[in-house]
Amino acid sequence: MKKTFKGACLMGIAWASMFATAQAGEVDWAALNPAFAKAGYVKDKEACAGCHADSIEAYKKTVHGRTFQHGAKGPLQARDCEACHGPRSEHVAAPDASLKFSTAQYSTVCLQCHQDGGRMHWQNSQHKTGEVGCVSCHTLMQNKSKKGLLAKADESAVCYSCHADVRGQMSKQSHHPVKEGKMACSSCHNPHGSVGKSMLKGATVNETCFNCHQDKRGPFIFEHPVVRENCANCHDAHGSNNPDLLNAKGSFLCLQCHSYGGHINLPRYNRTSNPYGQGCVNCHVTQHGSNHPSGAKFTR
Amino acid sequence: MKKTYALASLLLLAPVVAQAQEEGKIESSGEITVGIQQMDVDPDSSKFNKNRDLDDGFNLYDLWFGLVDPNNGRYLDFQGENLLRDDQSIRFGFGSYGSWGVVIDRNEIPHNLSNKARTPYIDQGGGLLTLPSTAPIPNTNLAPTTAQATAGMLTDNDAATATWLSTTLHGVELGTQRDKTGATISITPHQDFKFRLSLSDERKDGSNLTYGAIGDRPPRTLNAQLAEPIDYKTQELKFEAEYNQPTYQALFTYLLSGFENDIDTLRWQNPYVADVDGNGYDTWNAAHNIASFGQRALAPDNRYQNASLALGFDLPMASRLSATVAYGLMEQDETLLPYSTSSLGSATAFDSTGILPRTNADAEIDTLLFNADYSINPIERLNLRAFVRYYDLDNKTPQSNWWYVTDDTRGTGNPSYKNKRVNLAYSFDQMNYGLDTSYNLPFWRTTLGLGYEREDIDREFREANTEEDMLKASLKTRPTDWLTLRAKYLYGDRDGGEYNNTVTAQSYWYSLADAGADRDNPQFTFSNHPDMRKFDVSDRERDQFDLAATVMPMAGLDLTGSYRYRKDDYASGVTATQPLLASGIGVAAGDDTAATPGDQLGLLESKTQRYALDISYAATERLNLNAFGSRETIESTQRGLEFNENNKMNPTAVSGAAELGPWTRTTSQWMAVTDDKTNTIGVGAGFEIIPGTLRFATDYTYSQGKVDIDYSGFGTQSSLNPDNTLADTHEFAFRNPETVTHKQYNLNATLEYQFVKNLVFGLHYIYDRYKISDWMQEADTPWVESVGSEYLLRDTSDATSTQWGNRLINLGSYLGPSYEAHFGAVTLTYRF
Repeated sequence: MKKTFKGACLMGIAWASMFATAQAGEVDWAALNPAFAKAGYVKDKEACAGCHADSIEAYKKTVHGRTFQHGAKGPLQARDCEACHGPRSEHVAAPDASLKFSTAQYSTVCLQCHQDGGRMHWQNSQHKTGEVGCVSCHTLMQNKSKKGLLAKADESAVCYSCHADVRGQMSKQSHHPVKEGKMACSSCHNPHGSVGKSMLKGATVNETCFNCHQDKRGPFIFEHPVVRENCANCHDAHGSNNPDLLNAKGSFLCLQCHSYGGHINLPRYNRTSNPYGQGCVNCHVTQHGSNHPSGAKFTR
Repeated sequence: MKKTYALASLLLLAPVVAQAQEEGKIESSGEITVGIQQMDVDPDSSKFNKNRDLDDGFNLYDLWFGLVDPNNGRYLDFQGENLLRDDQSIRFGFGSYGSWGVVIDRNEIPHNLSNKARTPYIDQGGGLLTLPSTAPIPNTNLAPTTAQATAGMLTDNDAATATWLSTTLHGVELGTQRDKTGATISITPHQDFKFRLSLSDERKDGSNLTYGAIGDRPPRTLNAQLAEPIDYKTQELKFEAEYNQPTYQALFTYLLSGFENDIDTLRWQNPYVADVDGNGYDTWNAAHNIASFGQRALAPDNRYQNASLALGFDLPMASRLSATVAYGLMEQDETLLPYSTSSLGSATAFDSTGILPRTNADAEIDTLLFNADYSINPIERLNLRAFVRYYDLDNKTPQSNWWYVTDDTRGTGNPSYKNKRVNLAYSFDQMNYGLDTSYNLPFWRTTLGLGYEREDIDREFREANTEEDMLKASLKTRPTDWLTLRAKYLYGDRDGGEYNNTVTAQSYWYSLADAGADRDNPQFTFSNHPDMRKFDVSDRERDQFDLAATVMPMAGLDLTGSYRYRKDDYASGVTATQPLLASGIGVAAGDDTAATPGDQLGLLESKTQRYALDISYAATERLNLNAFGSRETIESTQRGLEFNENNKMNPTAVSGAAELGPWTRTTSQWMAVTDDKTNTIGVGAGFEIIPGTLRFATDYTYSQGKVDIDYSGFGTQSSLNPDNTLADTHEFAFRNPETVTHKQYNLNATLEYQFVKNLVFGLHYIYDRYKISDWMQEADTPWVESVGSEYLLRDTSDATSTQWGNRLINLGSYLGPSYEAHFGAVTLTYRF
């Protein structure tokens, strides 16, 4: 099954590459908006500045403004304003709002250049499917954020505008240091799309977590299978009212899977496993995996 | 060191800035904010500075500037926050726009756990924790008789330990510091090619909370909370190469990550064992040989490599195909420790690595990912997306037969036959595939979506493989320009197939003859109770609703509301079974037909609801208001069953008068319903008192978390007579614990006055209050008794439980306690 599957996929990619002809990557402006049909390129930024001086003054300080001015690669980037706003001869002749773009149209424009690298999976991403566009999160004409041309000064504020529930989770007593400014949503997620579920940067939850928690990577001689398969089986990365981002309190988490008999079956008072500290982890300290020959039960 | 980094950055930049300004050709801009702050934190809780470094005195809060040469597009920029502090961030970049760039960054993250922890241990370095002396306990017996306990053996030991602690306890800092420095070089030699090379070095040091158990398993375990020394180093190299054409793109990525732990082993002294003979252990009551030192392996050095190739193609009919293949390799080959720190009086040299099946870990895991995603708009308004994803985790770590010494202690003879264990190479492969469709309806800009996904996971050495079908539906509509509504529904049906509860037997390698007449015998009877279903591989039915609305009724007013409901039902059709029937291990008649109650054990159900509301209002050009609120409730239900592990093979032999019953007894079941609630609200305002000159901003946030556990069944009531309540002092007693509460109040207020061009004076005030109540962090609960000092805990049921285990020398209650803080700062910002 594995070989057949792999072979079929490789054939599909080979077929796809044959059809990926060298069509112009630039936007077909007339197809985007029929009002462009008769428009031509002005190729003079001063014409834009005549009415949009304030916007251009702020734009000049952005990475786009500087790149297009000083390091333009190819004719598309050399058009500067019209690289993104399209041919504007009709607009200069009769300024009106007929050439305003929708969110989806803006995305089409951005993808002329930015369908590369970490944005390669954008078209099939959850955000695109959810009709989020580039301008939903980014503003290009001024530096509102320190990096990323975000629509707000703080990355979290951008994400919380749609994912408000996550702000509440991040306020729980055990949380990653996002609100302290030491991490960001993009530390774990690629909002432009990825091969990981929930747009995680890594292929799996664990590969994402191991970017920072390399000490848990192992491999170990004695593996805890629920850990190796998915950190989220025990942890909630967005925040928890339990210590260490755990999904349940103390021994109640372990008791969701373990029922051996004896001391581990019951959250009883008179065992160090339960009333104080970290429950079962008071003894089973290497619960992420053990590299000790006596580590079969994760006490070493 | 951090001062060095910050000052070095500034010194390197100073001549550049000076030169540029002298030549008068460079465009420059920037901002610096300095100030003096004062705070009052009562008490001085580490929680206040958990992930930050606020302290009285001068601060360089913010410094950024940028230089651009307009003639050639070369640039240099610097961003620094909280400079000279343990939580500083620095980013320094230079290059030429559109051609090449270099970014050097450094991020420092403190993680302060406690500044009130106290321990008798002395850190000798290299992971060795010793004691100035051992506790002079008068009775060395892990399992005294009732008569001995009644005569005071336990309390005499506890009193001696308390006195010893009062002379040996001293303060210890608990927390870590993580500092990461990275450099990235980006080159775009041609519009079709981009290359990036990133190098990083991360150090994490300090100490973390851990435990050092020595002794037979509970209730004969002696334990202590320890401050584990941390000395990690991670170095990474990442190379990326892109080839981009208008309609197809390729990205190759290679990552090499090396983790080093400069402290391989944690070795700690047993506070109760004096090692009178100098042989590494003492014999207690001719029954237990207990080591004078415990030892365990800390996080091993490891290496990780990952290579991936991602391709994207724009295809006819406005379709796109993206595909990724990635291979990962995790390796770890640490030299192994022996089974124990001492031979423990055995003929078997448990303290020698010569008897190990191998002396190095030789651990390896390979991963393979293949992902393909294709979307197309075959006709106007219709979008189709098909995807397939395959992930294989192949554990190549060799499996060996190991002995197992329980916590550096053994009874007479060798360790139990049950301590013959095999390390299992857990592997799994996961296949996901599905189809999503969306159709744009011709009214109200409405989009209707339907989707199907299938997930199959095949596992080795796990109880079950799982297959899950998921159906998705969504609706998004905009009936007006100011109103957007979204709804989504997901239904998932996971089938765990045949649950193999005997799979844990594969981790044992003893023969039936080894077990003899022992009635526990987990390999040939069962390990976990047969009614247990581990939730990650059990059946599961999932229902999830998402509703969201965005309203913009007037200019400047935005309201966003959302609601999520998710219910996971793990009911797996558990019925009564006879696990010993026809077992072939000589089970006596009557026992062979013993049946489980047939009620599923483990996590049964989980329900989550989330509500969120965000409001932002630009009331006037000068006044902005915002508010938010969110509520999350998580209710989870689980069942357990307490039974005598020593009667797995002969449940009928359990005395009918024994509270600790056989695995067949229904009245030994217990239930726990955990109710976890979080409420967060916040309001904020920004007001330009004098536009462009005087500005005031304030915000207030309140967050409250609560965890309640409603516990019922065995523990609160007798398994023999369910109408009878068990006393708090009963050895199996447990009650609804006190509600866990966390409350955080935070008020920020800032007044800024621009008194001259480019110069802004600021006044800042922060009120921060944190309150915590957690029964697992207190030495003041019905079931915990403090003796002599709050640092020694033992159970109170010594009338019925005579075993002197269950001792936990701890670092203190509430290591990060409640606090109330006032913070004030005066700042000056210069913009240029």
